[in-house]
Amino acid sequence: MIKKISFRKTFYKEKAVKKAIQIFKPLFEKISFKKERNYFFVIFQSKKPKEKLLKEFLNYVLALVQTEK
Amino acid sequence: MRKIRLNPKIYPLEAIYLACYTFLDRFYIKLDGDPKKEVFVFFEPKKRISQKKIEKFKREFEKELLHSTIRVMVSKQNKKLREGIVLTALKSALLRTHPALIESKIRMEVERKRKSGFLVPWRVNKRGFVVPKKND
Repeated sequence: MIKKISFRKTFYKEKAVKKAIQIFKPLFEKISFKKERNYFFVIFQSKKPKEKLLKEFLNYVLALVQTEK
Repeated sequence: MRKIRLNPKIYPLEAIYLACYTFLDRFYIKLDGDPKKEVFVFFEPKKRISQKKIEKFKREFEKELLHSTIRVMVSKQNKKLREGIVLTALKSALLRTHPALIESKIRMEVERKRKSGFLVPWRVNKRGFVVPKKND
């Protein structure tokens, strides 16, 4: 399974996204981070589909953005 | 994912973050859009819930949003006062533990103001007005 999640730069901080990637890294085969003009992209790779985990990732990043000001 | 459309001119971004944070335990939430024109809050319940409950969530979210907007506004209004109170408390605590430090700081500050011309020696003249004291 390969899934791509986008985070708009104006709402999410790079530091928070990268920190969340570090936390979720052991749960996926591979996680890569890409930076574009207005968005950060996080690409998840795993053998089994992990939809719920991906959504938890969304919440985790949002929580980090809110708490680490 | 369903979405809620918000006007950032009415609700500040800080308040939107706060409101979203409140519902993170029950919903998956994602923010998108343009923070200057329109903000979209995408949400999905963690457990299966009825349409009625989703509508209820929307109303709850709006209520929470208003609540956090007011919190942000009041916090901004009282910022200077809050900082002043904390500063006074810290100063008085420092005065107790390190009185010499504060005295030297005050002396330095008075000297700095005197040099900049802010503090001028004064006297009261015959008419009762405050005028600068002439140097001897």
